[in-house]
Amino acid sequence: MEDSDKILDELTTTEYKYGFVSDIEQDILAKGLNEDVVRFISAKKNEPEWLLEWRLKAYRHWLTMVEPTWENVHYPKIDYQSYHYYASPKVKPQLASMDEVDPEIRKTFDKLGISLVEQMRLAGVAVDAVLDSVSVVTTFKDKLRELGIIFCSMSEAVKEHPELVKKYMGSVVPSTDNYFAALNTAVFSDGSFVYVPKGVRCPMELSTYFRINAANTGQFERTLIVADEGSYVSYLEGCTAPMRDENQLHAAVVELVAHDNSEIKYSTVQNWYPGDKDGKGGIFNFVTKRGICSGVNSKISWTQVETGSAITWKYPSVILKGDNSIGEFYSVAVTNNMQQADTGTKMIHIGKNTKSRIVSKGISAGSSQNSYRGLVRINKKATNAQNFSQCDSLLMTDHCGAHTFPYIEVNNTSAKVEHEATTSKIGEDILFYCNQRGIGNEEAVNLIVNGYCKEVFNQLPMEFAVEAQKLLAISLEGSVG
Amino acid sequence: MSKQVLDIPVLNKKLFAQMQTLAQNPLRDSSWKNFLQSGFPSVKHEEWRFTPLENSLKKIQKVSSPDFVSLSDDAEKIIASLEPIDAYRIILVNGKPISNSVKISDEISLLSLKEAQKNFPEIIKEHFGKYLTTEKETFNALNTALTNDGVFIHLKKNSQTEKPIHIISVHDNREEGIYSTSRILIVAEEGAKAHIVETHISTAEKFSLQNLGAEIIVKPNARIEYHLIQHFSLLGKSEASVIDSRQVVLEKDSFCNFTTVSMSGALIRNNLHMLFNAQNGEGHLYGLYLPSKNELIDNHSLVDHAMPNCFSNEFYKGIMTENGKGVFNGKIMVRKDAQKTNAYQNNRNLLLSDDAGLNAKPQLEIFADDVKCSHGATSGQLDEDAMFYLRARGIGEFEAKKLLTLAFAEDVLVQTKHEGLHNQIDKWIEEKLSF
Repeated sequence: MEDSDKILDELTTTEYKYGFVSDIEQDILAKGLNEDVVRFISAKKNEPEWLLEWRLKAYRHWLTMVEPTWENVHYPKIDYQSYHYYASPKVKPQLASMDEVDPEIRKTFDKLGISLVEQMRLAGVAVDAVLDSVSVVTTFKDKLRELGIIFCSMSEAVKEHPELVKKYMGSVVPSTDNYFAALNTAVFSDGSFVYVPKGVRCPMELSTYFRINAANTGQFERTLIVADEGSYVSYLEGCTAPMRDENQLHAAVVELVAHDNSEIKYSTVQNWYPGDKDGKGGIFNFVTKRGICSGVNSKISWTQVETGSAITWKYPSVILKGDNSIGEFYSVAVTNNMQQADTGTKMIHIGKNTKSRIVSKGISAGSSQNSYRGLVRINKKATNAQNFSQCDSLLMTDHCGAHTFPYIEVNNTSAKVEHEATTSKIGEDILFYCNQRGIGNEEAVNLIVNGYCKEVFNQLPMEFAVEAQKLLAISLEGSVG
Repeated sequence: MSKQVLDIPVLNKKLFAQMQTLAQNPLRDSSWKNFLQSGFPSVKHEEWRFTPLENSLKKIQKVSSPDFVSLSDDAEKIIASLEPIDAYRIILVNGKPISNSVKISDEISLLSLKEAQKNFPEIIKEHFGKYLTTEKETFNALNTALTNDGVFIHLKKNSQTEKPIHIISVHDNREEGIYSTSRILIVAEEGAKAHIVETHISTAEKFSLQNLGAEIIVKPNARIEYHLIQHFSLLGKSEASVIDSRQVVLEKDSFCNFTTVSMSGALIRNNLHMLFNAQNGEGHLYGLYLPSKNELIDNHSLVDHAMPNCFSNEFYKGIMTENGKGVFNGKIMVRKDAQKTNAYQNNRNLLLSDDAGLNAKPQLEIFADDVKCSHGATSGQLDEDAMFYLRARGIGEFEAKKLLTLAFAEDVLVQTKHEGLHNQIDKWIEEKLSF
């Protein structure tokens, strides 16, 4: 017991490993939000008229909306006027090679352990690095272009592929969808755009590293991925952020569109600053993620490993519209100290023979609160729809909490819906079994937790799986009571 | 954002005035105020998302008469046939008992609530309204404000009944739009044992709404077997509806098995709360619901583990036919100090028609770490393999369906532990599903 207390103590006092501020000259808009700010952002990015109109419409609608209150997380009231809504590095680069990248920015990436050069050479990952709000460098672009794959920043896409952006942006998450989606639509700064043409299988994992850098800038990213008929794409998203005292709001929107016979795989490792051990500071991660399987036999798979953020509040969802389409959701959510998470998924079955699978693993430690909230809806015409959900929670201390709120709505007789959930701490008998065989407490917990999360980690691409395991080890090592 | 409450004017003016007069009593004043404050929940209210009340509330014409209403011949006939026949019976019409007391033994009292106020004032004072809180609970508040009479059962220390106690509640809906209030208080003292059956029926086809509140207190080492049966369409389609809020309180080493069988009713809402108020309690909640044409059956349960070392098991099954809607919302709450809690919950549903609907929301809220909790929910149709197995053995489609459906219900019905009652419900299910 004393041992584990010591470990716990060490763990809870461990400082956020990736916390630092990089010193790059930034172009920051004064705090506050009004129509002029929306116009300013749009003008700054040389956006076409329709996009400005769309932003303004969303902004006006946002003004009429009320912040939701049903969630199982608590946070001080957000003052939306106290944020900067635009920040971009002063040196606006149009770069062809790595040499032209600002050395300060390159140093930042080096500190994060994302060596662009290394990644380009060794991993074969094309990285669209987003530092705060403007994309600074895009690699492997030429190689992707050969195949007709578009992978660029959102602002670039608006300029070069307006017809695609106009067609798909807002088609999955309408500008009026929810409070935070409307806010995002009004003030989104940049993001990533991916289009995979008919019959193309994207040969590499596409990846973006998000960073929140300038103090007090809410980051409003917007990602749109479109997979045309018979195509395949795997997209990775990873996050780290510097240490900060005031809360930072992050309200991103991610939209996925899968046409006939296509597949999109979206993986996230999220490790934003969770606040200190008293819950001071930390990121508010209020994200709207939704995909639509609009074509037959299409598939969307979400995988997420959530270890960071003071509050994680998001439900990556799939609308299964096309017949025989498949939706998957794999999640590991770890909360420690004062962190709060309310996360899960929504599977909306509309088409015939649609299938969905949900595997959610929650781990609560410290004084954290971890909730799973999920919806499985089988619409009346969704004949032979199938769902399987499993959400397990692991409790590490006697003052943390684990909650599950699954919603099941079935309106078709032929549907098969199964839901299972368990909550427990690590069994004393299992620990005893390990101890007996000469495995120390800490090592045993590691083994058990890793085994517990394996089903989700297996879904991650190789590079991410390693990072995820490392994160888990940092967050939880030996934290059993 | 839309409002979570319906305005009180959803009730017609005359009715509201009538209610207000009835509630004029210092004891009831605070409940009435709480009711006015909370108003009726709309479908925007999280706990009432799938159970719209507006239309039902609009249909209420008046509050049931405080005078005795005689039973119709039909009602008499049904009552005579209700299982368990060999039991101590008390009959209520619109929440009001037709006799003041039923003789059981010196140790066990079965009385009307009014009579009990004379004979057991201390016990009533100690327990009445203690657990059925009126704050933010509209229907509890309205119930407490308008309670006129009801049933009181008291079991003395170590007492035991030889026969079940049977509460038969008749919802007299021969007149359109009757609103009635009913209240039940059961106190089982240390080591007492009882088997209680409560059956709700209606006598006609018109709309009526009963607001029922019940408190069941199970003291240390006491054991209660409770079977609640709601069947309003025994005489043909009935619009009778009920909102039933119950609080079961389990003290140290006590035991309660609560089984709810909802056979029919235009709108049935059961709020069953089981509170573990001391260590080593054991609670079982079983339920079976069969909504069919234009029926909505909503089971909301809360198992509240406030103390360590308790065990709870919840198992609800639904069979949805025609355009029947089933709602299951089960919450297991394990509070901070409730270590070594074992809590299980299972909800299984059978959808037998394309128009039927089901909304299930099993929830776990856990604030302690040394616990074993699980829940499961499924929805589907009859197993094709099992159907094929039976058909291959020369059993006709209807017969096979009947066998499998009854087998599905059996898990819950076996809990009735009374052969006559079990057989009667089996027969009702066959009739209801018109096999």
